[in-house]
Amino acid sequence: MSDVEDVTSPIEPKSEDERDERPTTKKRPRIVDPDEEEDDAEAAVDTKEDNEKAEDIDEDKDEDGDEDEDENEDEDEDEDDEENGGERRRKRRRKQKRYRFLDVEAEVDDEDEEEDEDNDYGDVAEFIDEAPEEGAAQNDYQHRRLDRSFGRNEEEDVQDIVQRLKERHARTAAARYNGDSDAVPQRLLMPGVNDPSLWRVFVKTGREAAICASIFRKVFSQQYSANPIEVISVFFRDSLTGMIFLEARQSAAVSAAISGIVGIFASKGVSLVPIEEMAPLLKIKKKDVNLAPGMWIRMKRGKHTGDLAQVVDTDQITSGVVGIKFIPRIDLTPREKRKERAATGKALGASSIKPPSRLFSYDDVRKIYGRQSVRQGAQGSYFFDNDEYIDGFCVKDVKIAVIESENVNPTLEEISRFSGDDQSTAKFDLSAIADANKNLTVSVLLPGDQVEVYEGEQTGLYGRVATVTQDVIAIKAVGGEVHDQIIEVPSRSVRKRFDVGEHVKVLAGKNQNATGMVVEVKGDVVTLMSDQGEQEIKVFSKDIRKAADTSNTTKTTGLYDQHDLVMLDSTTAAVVTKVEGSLLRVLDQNGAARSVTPDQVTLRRDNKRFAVATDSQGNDMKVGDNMKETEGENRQGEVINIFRSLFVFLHNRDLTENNGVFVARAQSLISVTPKSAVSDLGKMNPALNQQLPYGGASLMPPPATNFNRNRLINTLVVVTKGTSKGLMGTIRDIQGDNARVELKTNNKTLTIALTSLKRKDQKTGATYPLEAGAGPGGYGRGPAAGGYDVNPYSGAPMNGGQTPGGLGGRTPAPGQFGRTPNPYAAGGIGGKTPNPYATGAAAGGRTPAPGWGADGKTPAPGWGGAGGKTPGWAGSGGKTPAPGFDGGRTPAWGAGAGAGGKTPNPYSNAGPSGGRTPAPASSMYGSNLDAGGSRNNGPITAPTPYGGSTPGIYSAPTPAAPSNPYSAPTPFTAPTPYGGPPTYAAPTPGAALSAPTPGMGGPTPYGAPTPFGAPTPYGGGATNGGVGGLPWDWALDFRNVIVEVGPSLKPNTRSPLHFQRGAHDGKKFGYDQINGESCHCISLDSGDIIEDIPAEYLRPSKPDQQGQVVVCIGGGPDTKGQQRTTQYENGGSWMMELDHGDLAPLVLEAGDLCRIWKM
Amino acid sequence: MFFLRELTHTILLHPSYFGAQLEDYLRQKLYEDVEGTCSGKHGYIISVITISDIGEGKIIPSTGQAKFKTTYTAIVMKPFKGEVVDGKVIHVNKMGFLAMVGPLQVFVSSHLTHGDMKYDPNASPPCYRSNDEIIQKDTKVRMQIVGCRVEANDIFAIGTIKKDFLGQIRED
Repeated sequence: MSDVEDVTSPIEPKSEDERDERPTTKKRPRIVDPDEEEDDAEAAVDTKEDNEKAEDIDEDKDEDGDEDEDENEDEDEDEDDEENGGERRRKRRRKQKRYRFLDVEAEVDDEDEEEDEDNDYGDVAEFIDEAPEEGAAQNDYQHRRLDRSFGRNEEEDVQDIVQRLKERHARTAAARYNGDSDAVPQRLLMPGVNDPSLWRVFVKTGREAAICASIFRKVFSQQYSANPIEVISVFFRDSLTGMIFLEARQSAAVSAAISGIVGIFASKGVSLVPIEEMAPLLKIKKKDVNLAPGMWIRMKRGKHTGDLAQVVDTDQITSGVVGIKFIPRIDLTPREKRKERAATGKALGASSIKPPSRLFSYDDVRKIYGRQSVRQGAQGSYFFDNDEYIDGFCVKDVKIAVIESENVNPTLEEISRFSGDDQSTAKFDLSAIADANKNLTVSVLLPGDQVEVYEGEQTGLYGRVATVTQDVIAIKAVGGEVHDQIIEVPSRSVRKRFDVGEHVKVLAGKNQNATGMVVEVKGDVVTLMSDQGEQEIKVFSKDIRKAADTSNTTKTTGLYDQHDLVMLDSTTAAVVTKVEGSLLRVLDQNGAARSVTPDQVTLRRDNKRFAVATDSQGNDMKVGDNMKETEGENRQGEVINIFRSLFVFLHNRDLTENNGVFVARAQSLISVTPKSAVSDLGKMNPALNQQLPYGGASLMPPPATNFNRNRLINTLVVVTKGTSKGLMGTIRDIQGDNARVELKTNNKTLTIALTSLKRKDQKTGATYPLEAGAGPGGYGRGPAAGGYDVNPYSGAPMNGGQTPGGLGGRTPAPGQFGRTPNPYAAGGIGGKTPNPYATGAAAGGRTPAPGWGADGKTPAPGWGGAGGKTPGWAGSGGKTPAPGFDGGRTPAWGAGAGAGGKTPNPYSNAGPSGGRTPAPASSMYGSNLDAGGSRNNGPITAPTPYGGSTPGIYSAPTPAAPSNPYSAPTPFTAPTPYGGPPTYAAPTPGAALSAPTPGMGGPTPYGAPTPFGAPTPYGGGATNGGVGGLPWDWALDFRNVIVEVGPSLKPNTRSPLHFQRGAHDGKKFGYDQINGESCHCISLDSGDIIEDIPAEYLRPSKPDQQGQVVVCIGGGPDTKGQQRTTQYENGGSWMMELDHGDLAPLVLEAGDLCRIWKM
Repeated sequence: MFFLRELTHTILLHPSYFGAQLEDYLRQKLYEDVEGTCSGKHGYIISVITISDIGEGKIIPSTGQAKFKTTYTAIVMKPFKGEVVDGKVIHVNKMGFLAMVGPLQVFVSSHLTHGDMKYDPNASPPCYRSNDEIIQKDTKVRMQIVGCRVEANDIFAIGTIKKDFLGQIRED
């Protein structure tokens, strides 16, 4: 029964005196517990009293007593002495008596002189006491009898003792040892098979101690009954909650002991503790509580559970009390509310609610709890509710048991709360933090980490971690005398070292996974500049790790590398997903993953560059494209290999399966990026783009420009559309077709389409198209020249419609001669477009290419797109108005002529004026001949058909409007001259430039045979360029005007120079109809001469006196087509009569005027 | 630091460009593709100096496009740790200031300025001020690069002015 106590009463060397007091020569081998856990001791204390009483009973009955009871702990002794001192004394006396017979064994304990002497003296004293009694008899008999009885007693006693010893130690046979030695080898004390077993019983958690006590009582109460419960000891461990252990030889005894005791889960059974686990079960970890002021701890109990606290005072540490300070949790709910809560029966719940932790504030507390509840102490401290508060913290002495000093791991935030303000991290007692974290150091250290030793004899040493063990790490030192040597240091004295500028990643804490660059290192605290947002992060160096910043330097060593295409057999391909030493993990074309050895596969010839496959939309895909599945999991990935154009292996880093590799059928994939923009052949081909055989059909947008838009970043722009219109800003980023623009006004960043932005020159304030490369620093060679920023390969007009539109309108469709040689033109749009490749754009190129159109009006060089969509690259000499042709109207082959610089021809240096070249005024028979001559170097001359000239004047003034074969681009379509009188002028359809049509504003007499409004072909604001003059076919644009016949104006024409060998040269004609390229002319001199004269021979009849009604056939778009009356001539210019709406007198060159017939 | 580097660039060319101007296209495309870009490995490609080899075009089966591997020499700028650079401040905030060194952004944290340099948020524009220096937007500063973060196509650097002869550059 005293075994029970033994569990909790370790034999300690320091308690020697105690043992010697009552020499215990027959110690049973026990497990030595040099330092019992405090709580065990506590628990045991409860049981001691019971134990003690039982012991006493026992001793009363058994005079010989039991030596085992001598093995008592100091505490027990003390209590014994205090509580049942008398009992104890009696016991001792008995023992002393007993020792008379055991003196041989008693001698063993001769270590303690003092006690021995006492004992000896006691013996002697007793003997002396007795001696007089015996001596009083004074006879031999008595002496002899005494001797005999001595001898007999001794004999009996020895036998008895031996017997008892045997009984006692029968069960501890394993531990045979010299009983007189205190130094018992541990291994001999280990339990063996002959020892009682330990049985584990599950009990209700938290009631272990009480249940142990109940079992004690039960066992003791039945100790001397008929059926004693043969349980030797009962104990529990704090560390093992919910179970108690009983020492017994048989489980039946255990069952008997626990039966009927509340709180034991008998249903869970009684299990045997294996022998090898018995000793560890009772082993107590050395608990080395080193509490030092400044150390961080956590609270274990109460409402502050888990709260961080700091040790402030360790003066009373010997008595198990330590002074700590922490942030209190005072319930500051108003009193009424608390009452309410209590009234509603939620008091219990309320108490379970943790008030938030906040610093003690006198005012707040007084407000809630009243003035009298708070007492002001010395030096600004307060007493409230028996606690002392200093500087807002609660300072309190607590038992060591209620604090946790291990695994405290305070966070920076908690500590900064303690220090009062977040800014002053530097003020922290870093060593305290480091101490608190020291246990974690090892776990976060990895070989290769840079560390530095900050305490101990190696302070200041730094290097790379070579190996890590539990407590010691080996460092390969850097610098100093020990450079390159491996030095072992305690892991607790190192910390990770980071240099300013290093790129690191946060491993733990609230900023986990953030990356940033180190900007400051102060002891353990590292400040990062986050990569993600512009913010600083403070972290412990233990929580960060160097991030891989530069490109990973994995090198291919073996024959096979990750993502290689290998052949498993002749028909099965696979992709290496991982190289594991000499083993390859592959994913085959059927999606099966397997491991193969390199000799099982063959490396397929690298066909990555050529392999193509067709996706579900018929677009091709190549290695490196981003594709997505159209079915199944809709996985997305980058094509890493294509096998037989059927199986596509893709890789996506985000997938975990097969290291991100998956296989898909080519037919089930779709491009992630809109493929059409990338590789639609039609769009990639610049030729196709502008020279579709179908006039006007090539309205496709320009190919995607591979424009390096990042160059636009930081450009100053102005918003031209949308809600932010007019605001200025700076481009911060380009995202597809949108730009992130940081506005100057409110510093906001908006996403705005690039098309709504214009570049703004910082100095001049002028705006340019964003992508024209204009402005300073651009690549453009001139503001309008379209730098090659735009698209070096495509001359795609940026302002699509304009160029061709301008031209289109003017096309006089002289249908009569059937001069449309365009074999392809279906006549849909400008049927007359003779140039099969003419871009035609909206209006249909009006320029017949000489090669095709026999009657081509404009001898545009064969391939030169006459229209706006000139191939960008073509016009090397964009400036000149097409060197090789005469039909001035057409823009030269290069150059965004016509509408001028709008065509962003990258190679063109053409200024806006470059392309404008209107044809020289070919009608100027004499004066313009020079100009005409220079044009005559065109390669082909359109043959002038000898139109049979019909004599006789056509008096019918009606223009043959309806019969015109051309449609849209001509002025004929909409308003015929006979339409609404003032508006017959036909606002040139398709003419983007809205050329003013003839008679604009002019009140045309109703029914008057007005010339057809000639839409201007010219680009906006075109002036008469240096070449000036009219095109040779000007006449086709008009009707009912007076013309003169002269030599052909058409360059490179095959027609004879003079019409009908000059038969009508110099004569004036009027014409009212147009047949093809010829005009149905009626001589003014003799009305019977009616000829169809090709337009190339016709020149305008200039006004020669005042009051003549003329139409303006040249000049700018704003004048052309106007019908005026001459008023005054000066030096070849005519001032016109004022018209309605005229602000200033209009003066026009005589060369631009033509008299109107039949006025 | 600036380097002359021999680099290569692969250009895919559509057949429609095959013609007399082919080399022009290639050149233009090369300029277009590489100038002003940044690669972590080489740094910022400032300018193509010479095109040493335009490469011979190889027709890619099935697409008909030609692939040219062009070799060219370019001026590249790559920042290095420890390098001293001059830049212009573009942004100032309480954490530090950001300066542009050509195309490179260098951030100088307030921790890496001299101890007596204080952020003055009330100034307009906000600035860092010490007894003899003032750093605000558009100030020219000399910094030492203490670290570079190199990404696939961008480089970002952290600089310091907490050393002798660094900081504001005065133009007098």
